[in-house]
Amino acid sequence: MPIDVTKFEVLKFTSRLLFIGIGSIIPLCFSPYSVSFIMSLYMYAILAITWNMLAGFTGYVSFGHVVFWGLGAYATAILIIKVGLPWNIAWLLSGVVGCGFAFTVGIPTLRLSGVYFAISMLALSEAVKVAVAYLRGVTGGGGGIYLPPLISLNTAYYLMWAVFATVYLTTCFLSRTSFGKFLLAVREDEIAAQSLGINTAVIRIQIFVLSSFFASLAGGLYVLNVCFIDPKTAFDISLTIKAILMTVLGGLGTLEGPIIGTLLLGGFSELMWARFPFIHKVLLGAAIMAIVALLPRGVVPSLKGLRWWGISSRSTLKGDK
Amino acid sequence: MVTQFLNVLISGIVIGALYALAAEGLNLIWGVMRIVNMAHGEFLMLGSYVAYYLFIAKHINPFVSLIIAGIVLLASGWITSRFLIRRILDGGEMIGLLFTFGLSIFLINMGILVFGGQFKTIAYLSGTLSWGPVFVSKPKLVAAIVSLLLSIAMYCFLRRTKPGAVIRAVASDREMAEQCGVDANRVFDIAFGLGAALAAMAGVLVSISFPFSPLIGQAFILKCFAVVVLGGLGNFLGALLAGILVGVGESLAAFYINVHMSHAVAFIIIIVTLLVRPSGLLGGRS
Repeated sequence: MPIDVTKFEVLKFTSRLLFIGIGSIIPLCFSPYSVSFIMSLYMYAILAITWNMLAGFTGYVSFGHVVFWGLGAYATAILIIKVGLPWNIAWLLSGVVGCGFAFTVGIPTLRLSGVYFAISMLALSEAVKVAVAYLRGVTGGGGGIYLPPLISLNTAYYLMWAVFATVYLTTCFLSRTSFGKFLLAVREDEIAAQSLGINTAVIRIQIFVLSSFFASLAGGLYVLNVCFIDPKTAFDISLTIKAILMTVLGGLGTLEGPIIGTLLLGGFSELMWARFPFIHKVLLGAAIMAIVALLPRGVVPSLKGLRWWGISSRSTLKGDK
Repeated sequence: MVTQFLNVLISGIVIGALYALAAEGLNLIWGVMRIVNMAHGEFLMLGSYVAYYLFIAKHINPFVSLIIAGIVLLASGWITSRFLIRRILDGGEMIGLLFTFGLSIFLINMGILVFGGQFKTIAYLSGTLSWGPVFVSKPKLVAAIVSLLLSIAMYCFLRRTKPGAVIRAVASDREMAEQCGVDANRVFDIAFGLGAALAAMAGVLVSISFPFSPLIGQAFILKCFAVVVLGGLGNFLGALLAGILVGVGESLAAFYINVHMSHAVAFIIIIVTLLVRPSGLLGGRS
């Protein structure tokens, strides 16, 4: 089937590439503080996009997304310290560990629906936190694991940037494939999708595993950069909530929503953290309530349908005659 | 062996009665409003602090504070529902979940700012009762008995009185109840207030039997979920039974496996129940 390329889509594609490209020159022109701040934004964006893959495209809202990030971090640290692997192999394997875990827990939990899935994922992340603290011999228990500094800030930055670019372009690509359409079908009406011959259980597991792969990679990079991980940081529920909130703020189920939400909320959070170190979490809680109550559809859907530079999303390359 | 087991069993039942009371509020709000109140644990925490400050400042008996905390949180819950929750009721379950999560973060951190992060205790009752080799601490036993009585009172209120019948009518079919002249929004406010009051009273009972901090709510919320899921959504007696089962399960796991593993019990109960018997032990909506 020939793809009907419109002027608007060309513009969208080039601006996407430009937006990603800008990231490559940041370490050349900013201070290490800014670089690590922007790197943390990339990390949040990865978490938000991967959360959106599941929630936005299939309607399965997970309240325990952080568990994959935390497992990725722990897997990387353990593979380096206890197994003695080089950091790059350990990092890539951590993604595989995340996939394996997602596959295992996905089979029972993805059978649940709605609120029950959300709560069981929340309970799962708490249970894994407890289990990691309990398995002292492997994980170092509640005290956490220290790593020697293995990679420079710039290496970590570029890897995080690369993961971000991959995950972003993957969602853009997925939304155009039949797989992406299947996901939307599952979200809109699961029974109708099944009756059309879509194996919804397999579709859900696939996207769940894919989203946790990238989340685990982000966790692995975090620990390589920070050189320390403990159960409290690794399975901190506020990380899940930030990812959710960034997506909801930007627009659930949109491609750019998680990124725009990350920029807005990440910027806001950094500003608050610097100005009001003691009450910034109170403000975060208030911000969550305000966003959910006032902007439940998010920023991106509210912007859709506007004309950008005189080009509406309807006009084609040949001009509309 | 047997006495050990009995001790573990009794401490499980005692804590389980508290879980049941806290979870009944969550159950009420969930069943009536379809809102999963993530801030439920924080209402419990507020109840504990009401009792604490009344005890420290005015030497008010915690059992009097039980009523005061109930009324204070009934009013705060009503206000929260009237001015905040009503706005997001149409948004669906996820919006409710996110909104109350924001409320929870807000209240926890306000709690840390206002009350301080350190653990507090109320030295009201102390000592243990013993029958031969079987021991139970006095404050925990009293807390358990009071929470059982409160649960039964709440059950009778919902079952035997007219306002209780109205609440159940809205829970089972909102539109039909509105056809009969019930203002569902007002019932929602009352149900939310009652749920908050139940949590607060559980909080007062927690405050006399455990050390507590502003983070205490987080320790309770997952267990409350487990209780509601196991007992069946909207099922009061189920919640009571499930609360005791969760409490016993936890204390058995803590004693025979590991203290840390007791925290995983709630998760295992949630998952297993949802997979094996999704409507809960006694079935939902009795």
